[in-house]
Amino acid sequence: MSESAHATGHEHGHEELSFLRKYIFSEDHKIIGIQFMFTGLLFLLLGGLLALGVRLQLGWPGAEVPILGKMLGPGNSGHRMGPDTYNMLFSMHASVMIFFVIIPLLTGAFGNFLIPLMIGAKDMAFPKLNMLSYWFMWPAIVIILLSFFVDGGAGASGWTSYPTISSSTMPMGLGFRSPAQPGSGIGQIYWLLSLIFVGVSSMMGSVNYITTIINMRAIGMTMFRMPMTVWAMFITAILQAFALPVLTVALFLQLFDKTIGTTFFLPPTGLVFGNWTTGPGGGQPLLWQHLFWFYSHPAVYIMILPAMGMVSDIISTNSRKPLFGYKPMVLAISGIAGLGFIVWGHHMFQSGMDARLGTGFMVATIMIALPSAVKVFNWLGTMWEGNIHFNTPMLHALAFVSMFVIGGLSGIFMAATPVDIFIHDTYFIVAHIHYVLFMSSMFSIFAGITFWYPKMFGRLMNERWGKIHFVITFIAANCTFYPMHILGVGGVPRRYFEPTPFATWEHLQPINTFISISAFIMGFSQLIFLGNVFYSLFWGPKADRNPWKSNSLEWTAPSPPGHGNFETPPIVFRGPYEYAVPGMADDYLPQTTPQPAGTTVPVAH
Amino acid sequence: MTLRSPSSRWLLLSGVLPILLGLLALTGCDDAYSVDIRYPLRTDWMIEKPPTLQPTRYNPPGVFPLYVLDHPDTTLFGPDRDWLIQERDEKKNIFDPRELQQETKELISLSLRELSGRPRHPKVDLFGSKYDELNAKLETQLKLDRKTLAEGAKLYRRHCLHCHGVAGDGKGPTGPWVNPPPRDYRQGIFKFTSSSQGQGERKPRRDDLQRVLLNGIEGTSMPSFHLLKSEEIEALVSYVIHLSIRGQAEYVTMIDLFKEEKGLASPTGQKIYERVRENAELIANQWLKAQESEIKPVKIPEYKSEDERLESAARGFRIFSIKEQGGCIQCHLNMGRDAQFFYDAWGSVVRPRNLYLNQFRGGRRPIDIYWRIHAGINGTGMPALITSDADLQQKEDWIWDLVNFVQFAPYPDKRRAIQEKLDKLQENMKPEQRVKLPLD
Amino acid sequence: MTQLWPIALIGILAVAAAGYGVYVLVPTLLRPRWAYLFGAVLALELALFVVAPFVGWWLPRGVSTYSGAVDALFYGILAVTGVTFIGVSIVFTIILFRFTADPERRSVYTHGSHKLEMIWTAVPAGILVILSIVQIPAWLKVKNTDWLKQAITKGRTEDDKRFLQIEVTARQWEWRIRYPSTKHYDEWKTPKSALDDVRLKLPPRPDDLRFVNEIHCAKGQKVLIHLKTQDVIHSLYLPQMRLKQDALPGKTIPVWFEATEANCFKEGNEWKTGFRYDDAAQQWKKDNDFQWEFACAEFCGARHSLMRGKVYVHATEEDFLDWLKTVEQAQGAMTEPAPAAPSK
Repeated sequence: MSESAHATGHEHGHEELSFLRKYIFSEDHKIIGIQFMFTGLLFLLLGGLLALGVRLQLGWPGAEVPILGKMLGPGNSGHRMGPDTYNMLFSMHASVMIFFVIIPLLTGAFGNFLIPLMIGAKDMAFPKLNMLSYWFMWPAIVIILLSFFVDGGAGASGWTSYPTISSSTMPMGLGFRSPAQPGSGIGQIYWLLSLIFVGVSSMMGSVNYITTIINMRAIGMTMFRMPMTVWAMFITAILQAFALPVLTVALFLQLFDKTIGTTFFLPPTGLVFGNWTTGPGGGQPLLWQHLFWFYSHPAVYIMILPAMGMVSDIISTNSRKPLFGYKPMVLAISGIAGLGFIVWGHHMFQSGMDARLGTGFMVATIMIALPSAVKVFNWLGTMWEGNIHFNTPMLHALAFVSMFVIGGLSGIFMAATPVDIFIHDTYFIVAHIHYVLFMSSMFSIFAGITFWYPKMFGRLMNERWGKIHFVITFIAANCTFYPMHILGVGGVPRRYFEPTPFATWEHLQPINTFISISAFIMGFSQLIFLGNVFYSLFWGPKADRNPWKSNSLEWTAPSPPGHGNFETPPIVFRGPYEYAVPGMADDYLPQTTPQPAGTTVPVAH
Repeated sequence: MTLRSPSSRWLLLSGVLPILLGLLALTGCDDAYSVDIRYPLRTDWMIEKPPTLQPTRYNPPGVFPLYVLDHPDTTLFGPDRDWLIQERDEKKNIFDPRELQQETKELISLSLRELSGRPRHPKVDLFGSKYDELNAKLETQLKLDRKTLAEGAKLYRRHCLHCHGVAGDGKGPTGPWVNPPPRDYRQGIFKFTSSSQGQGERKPRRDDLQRVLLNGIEGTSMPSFHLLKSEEIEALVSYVIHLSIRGQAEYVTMIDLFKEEKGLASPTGQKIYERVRENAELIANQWLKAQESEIKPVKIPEYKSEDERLESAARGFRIFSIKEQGGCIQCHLNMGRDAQFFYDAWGSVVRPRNLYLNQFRGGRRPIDIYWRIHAGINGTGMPALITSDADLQQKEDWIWDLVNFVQFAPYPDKRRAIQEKLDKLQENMKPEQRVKLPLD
Repeated sequence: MTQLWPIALIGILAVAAAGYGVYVLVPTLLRPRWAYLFGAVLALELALFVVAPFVGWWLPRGVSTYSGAVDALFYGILAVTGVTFIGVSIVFTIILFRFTADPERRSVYTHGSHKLEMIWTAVPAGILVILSIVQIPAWLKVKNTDWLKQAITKGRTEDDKRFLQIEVTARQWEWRIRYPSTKHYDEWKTPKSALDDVRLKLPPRPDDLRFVNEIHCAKGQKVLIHLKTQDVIHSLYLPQMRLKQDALPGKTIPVWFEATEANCFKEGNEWKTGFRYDDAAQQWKKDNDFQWEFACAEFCGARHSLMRGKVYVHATEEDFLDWLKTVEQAQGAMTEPAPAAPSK
């Protein structure tokens, strides 16, 4: 990896950096991106294990857990996972996956690594801020890992942490424990602190991305010649910049409620937990829901837009065909982001809001389906009459497209408020979430890692094992998450430790067992992917500059690029999707190649 | 298929692994306790008599009050910490079973296993031919046969374990996080009883336990289980009785042996297994007697209108307030709103009930309140009003008056009506003999 | 547990087949006909949704006056999304099949088609706008308690019937329900008394009847629930009535339903539920679809999944009053054995 690091003949003559400054506290966007990637993959393992714990209970409720029973359900619980443990497992699964896996991988890893390379810049606009944005994740990581070991366990109120189950605390002076549940004591405080750090890290990153994209594009790289990945990262960064402050404020408010005795979320009537009573407050639990969802709805778009951008590039490259409808695609991304700011109330339809307000949110939510549908049609249009190469990244990208359709369509049910009455807080929502987060975002992450791996490390990942991993994951993930739609239609509520006591849903329990078996298979097959990533680091075949014969700027840099990225500053002549240009021998035309004779490729694009 | 290099065999393994592990996940589908789980021998502090000092606060979530005895540096309890430690050292009514000799503990454990089996196969079996008749009675009258107990164990594990713990000690994983804490059955004391035995030997009737399961306990985390089938409720009641008999046999034996080992009582030389059996016999007989000792009201007044009930309530308030009669107000200060904290027999912090709260833990029917007043609440400071037959003759009317008062007290408009009746009732009394009802 | 073995068998067979496929057929399959994999998965998923209603894995029976509207909307959206899914999946599979990389063939060079973009923006937009308009009546039917508004302003419900008001207080971890006494229920014959209670959110009275985890009402009777919570956010969820409402600490939220079918009858001293009245045979027949329950649908701690309640819809108002009287007697018991406690 280090041999090409100094292949560039740059002039600034600064001294050789120490190992620490080069690879640990690096200001180089590529290293920071790779740091985010490995951290994200590590947390993918943790989040996955937590999910398997959840499925263990749901598949075999009340059963004694083999081997792990004595740890999960110590002595005084009959070797059985207790409900408080279960609640912690699903809450931390979601929190870890959203804040420590998907967002760091999509925005931190790919955003950092790709943006300067794709726009022809030497590095980010603010390298030191960039380094800080990675290292601000570490306090978050330490705190969230510590939270598992505090008294009462890690936060257990779901990743949504609604007051008053999350915010209740004993009156001032009686400690931080919560009368509502064990995990809402110190564990919840750590959860809040950790997420504050994550938010700050993301805000720093978003400022960096926006500035870099606006100011540091290469000569000839107009806004409409940027690859979709960069557009997606740009819009995502704007989303982060505007939405995160609201979440950070909400987190601080709840933190103050739990530590210094404020009552932002405590109603004037006070709360009664058996003998423990909180005093009267001056607040309103619903306030949290508004503040939290004002961020968290754009957050879900933060988690899907970079994926859409990357998938657009991967599909275009591997179909050897220009992207269908570049400007509509850009407009669609902007539309999703813009609409994303005015739909947060659809998470709160059943909270008791006025029916007219609900109708307003409903209309906006239903309209979000439109730009997403347009994007799907454009991807299909890109592949139509193309030359599809079924390599591993393309397979994952194809899975993204087909599975995102399912995820998006299930969203329409929830947008319709009367239907939402029935399916709110049921497994239908869980199915939708996992279709857009695992089956879409996660597949795009697999696609992205495999696709840009040669650029990051100078080696290719193993194709055969990549495909085997894809097949097992694709089948197992569908077996895991699709039946959840059926559970949801039946009305099975979510966050349920034991769904079996209900006569209405007893007959659906075998589906739960089937889902759990599939989940285990899917979970363990990710070890193939991780094995592939690490194996290929040392023994993968060496890659040249442009193994995929793609057009965008990063493929003109060495694999991996050295300090400063490009040997000479790039000059851009056209957009990134000039594949199968008539009159050319090659079926691709990189952005920096001057116009070949005999072709009429549009220049202003 | 050729493998590329020796190290890629690891990747092959990671392909087989998911499928194997997926199949492994098919194991473990039994509902009953695992074979290797045993009833644990008691290791937590045993209280012989409730601490006399008054605590200043409830315990915080996650720790029981007696936590201070093992963690003398804790700051979670304020001044209560020092006083509780002092109480243990000076009054010597809180014992640590861990201090018993190892051999003693092992013998107790073995004897208890003989008595009560293990969670997967519970039983109540006083071993020895002289106990045959008692064993038979336990099976028929208290439904403590093996089949019922095994069913009860399975249900207990699914529904009750996570609060009440394997041995019924109230220290399941959720136990310390709820207040009031889950009942610890091991002292053989239950609060809401309808049996007329004396304070030290009173046990609940099966009906009482069933009622708690069916209605839950309002104001606590004990939920209602009335959606279970009636056979399931019966099995659970039997299992709870089984846990209580085992627990109390352990408790009594341990306290006796502790006192002998520490020189607080002179040794009797009796073998441990004999002690356990004799204690169990005594306890079992108390349970059997309870089933036949229901408190039934002798006189049941009939009220022709709400007016008559209000008059009865007015009388009830006078009984409530006057020291020589009921004298309830001495603990239920300001109708219970300013009541002080006390320790109960299990070492938890309790307060006399706030009567304006409209919360009745033991049930809100007139007969339930009658039982609470008649016999007191076992394990707490609520005394019995009736302690002898002569008492009953004289004071039964008082009980019904108190019942009516307690039932009307939480409603502001009814309080005003009661005050009006009181004014009429007290018209001809001297001012210092009059009592006034706080209206708000 | 008894139903595990067919699933396990299918699971093992599926896994064995997958294993065989992966390790033996992979070299052959790697000659791309990836269309088969994607197509098969998508087809199986479609099949699941088609088969599910016929094996009982579907919506619970809807038995309230607005469950029909909700279900109709659900089916409408299912139709639209189903057609879209089938269409997109077919196009997708065809693409994977037809346009595999071929060195002899060049891709068609195009950056898009303005006309196509217009069509596939306008058509979905139109469908979505229609969807959003179509659902407003259903939403209003549920939320806009027109009948209550009318009752308050005109002093009568539109069908002049008495409506039941109960207070449901959620708490960790059960539902405490407060019914009016029979005497007070009688007073609601006079609309003013009922409407005062609506405005004051059913103030507590000494003769109120308190019950746990069971909602009783009569068929064809509107039930107005004053929903409260003592501690954390819970959510009252009656799946068969298509009712769901979050309970917020500090607020009393009104929510209502009206059942269109009955599911319980009195046998001896108890009411049994899970029965359907067969008009032809003139008797009650056991039917699992008539076991109506309610649950908590907002995470509330350790026993969130165990806050189970049952709904008993009595066939007539008299039967409901009969039950109410039985509860009244049981709760006024001055001795034991009390009159038989109502239904389990």
